[in-house]
Amino acid sequence: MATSNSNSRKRKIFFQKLVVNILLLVCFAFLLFPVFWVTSMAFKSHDDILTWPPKFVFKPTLENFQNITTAVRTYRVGAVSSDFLKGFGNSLLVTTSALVLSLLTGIPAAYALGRFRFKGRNDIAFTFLSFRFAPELLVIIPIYLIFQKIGLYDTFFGLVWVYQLITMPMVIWILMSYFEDVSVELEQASLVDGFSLFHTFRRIILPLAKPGIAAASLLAFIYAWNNFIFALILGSSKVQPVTVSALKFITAEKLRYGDIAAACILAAIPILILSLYAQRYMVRGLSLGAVKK
Amino acid sequence: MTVVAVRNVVKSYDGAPALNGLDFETRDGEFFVLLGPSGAGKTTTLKVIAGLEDLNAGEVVFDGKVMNAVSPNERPVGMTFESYALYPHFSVFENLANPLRAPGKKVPESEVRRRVDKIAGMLRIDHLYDRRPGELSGGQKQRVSLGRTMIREPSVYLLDEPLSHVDAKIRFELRIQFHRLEALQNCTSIYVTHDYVEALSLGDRIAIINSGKIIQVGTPHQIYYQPKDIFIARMVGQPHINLLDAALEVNGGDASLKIPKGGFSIPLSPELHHTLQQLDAPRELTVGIRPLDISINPQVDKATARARSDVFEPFGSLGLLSVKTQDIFLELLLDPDLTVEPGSPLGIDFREDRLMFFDPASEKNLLSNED
Repeated sequence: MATSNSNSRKRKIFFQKLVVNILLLVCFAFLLFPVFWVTSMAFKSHDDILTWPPKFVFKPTLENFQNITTAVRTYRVGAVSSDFLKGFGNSLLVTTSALVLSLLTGIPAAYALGRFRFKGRNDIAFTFLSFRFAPELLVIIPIYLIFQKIGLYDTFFGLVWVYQLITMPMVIWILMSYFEDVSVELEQASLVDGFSLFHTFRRIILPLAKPGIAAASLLAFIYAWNNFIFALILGSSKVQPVTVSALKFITAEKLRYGDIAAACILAAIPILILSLYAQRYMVRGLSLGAVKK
Repeated sequence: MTVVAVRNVVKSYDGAPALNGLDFETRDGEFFVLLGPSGAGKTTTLKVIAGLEDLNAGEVVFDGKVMNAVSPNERPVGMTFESYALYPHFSVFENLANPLRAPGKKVPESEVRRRVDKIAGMLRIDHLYDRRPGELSGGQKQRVSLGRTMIREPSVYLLDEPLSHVDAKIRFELRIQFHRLEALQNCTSIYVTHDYVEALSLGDRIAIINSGKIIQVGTPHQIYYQPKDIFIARMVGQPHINLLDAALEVNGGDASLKIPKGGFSIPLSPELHHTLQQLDAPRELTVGIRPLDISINPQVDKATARARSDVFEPFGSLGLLSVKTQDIFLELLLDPDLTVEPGSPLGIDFREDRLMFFDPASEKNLLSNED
């Protein structure tokens, strides 16, 4: 009797696991299919892309990547310059600059908001977060008019500045909770050891907040890199990042699906590299065991 | 060696007072223990002395110099924290060496190594250099924390419940180590604990703190045998002190303490009666007697009180016997090898020189002398 109950329980667990795994596979396929589709489009010729039914087995080509990275491509109707590499460079410059600025100012701000208790603390913290509430379309027109008036339209400085609306709230809010988590007694121990608050912050607090800094940097980078509206309206030929320059592949002649797909793949590479690099810092438990809770 | 004085310190958190006119002074090179229950203000006191918390009022004075405006990294203190506060991203060696790397120290690496080796050898943690705090046991963390404090060679040691999270057996060994540490013997140390055994064992003097105020300061003997009030009498000692409602009776030349609920009277010597008269003791008293100061009298008829045994618990080197006299229970500490059957009649005597007399209204000890 005991054996048959045990067997039936084992069967039940097996079927439960089977159902869960099948559901996970379905979710996995559903979520990753667009990535797979775009990747395959990037390596297909234009004819293969438009074929119906869609081809899953095809002869891969690097033609699309060559198209978007070549400076000038000559068509029957004339020469079209590909701004993709320039846009890629602009994205790197603007996003990295915006992130660095947010980290330089946001880390000390997050520490002050997370560690100290002062009047208006919660209001200030909420104000930073509220920058993320408003959709970009809501604020883009007044910002555009202001930028035009003060001469910041189509400038790197202007774009880096406005990107703070995207990156700064993320840095502050994520790091606030990390700084709150670091035991105040670690700071106090360092002060008693003879270090000033600045040195304590540099030697003790910052290293312990590395996972938070990595997580905040990654998220902020992704959101800034993927930004379209600010870049489209507040920038022009000089500062257009890759999100806007990808529009150039929609030509009067045809919709260059393959070029767009190749551009998406190349544009995703910096984020992939950053994610892989930041992953090793996102290990919780760095402070476990050193301070008894 | 430094004399630390805390003068009428007031410290509040969001309006709630943590220290309420705290006032005490250590002696040069003294091992001074702050004993109190949780929430009494012990840790806050240490942090105020270290400069880690600001004061609302009062002064912290080191050798006559007011330290209120001196930042914590410039005060000659070393502090161990209840939570150990070891830097998790530093190895044990770097944790120990950290105070020597403070800006302005300019200690050569060879000297850092030498001093770390000396302290680590003394505390028997020299085999743990490469480990991180997360890989250490509670006792090891406590020793690394203590080593980090000692390596700075401060004038004042502030020790915040260093043994409270350590296993009972290791706590005993570490307590012995505290006695042996020369560095602590030659410095003024302020040790905070809620454990009266640690306080009585380690302290040159003990200050009882409650609700942010010092209630009594005295030697361990004074705190144990002359507690200032019932609160202190109950805090120190396990099991608790026996407290009896008594009435002072005088019959001709003989005085005694009648214990109505116990159905017996404790005779008082003329000297003790005279002392109580001089103190203008009230007729109704609360009498305290520690379990170790009550003994079994084999001659029941000649004993001060008759009782019946209730529960006997032998534990280790002592046995706890609970007895009932009429309506009250008394606790005695006896030889653990004693054979006592529940319900058997017993005679008990009380050591007169260890009796404590408390005013029932104020709960103050009528006979206490404060140091």
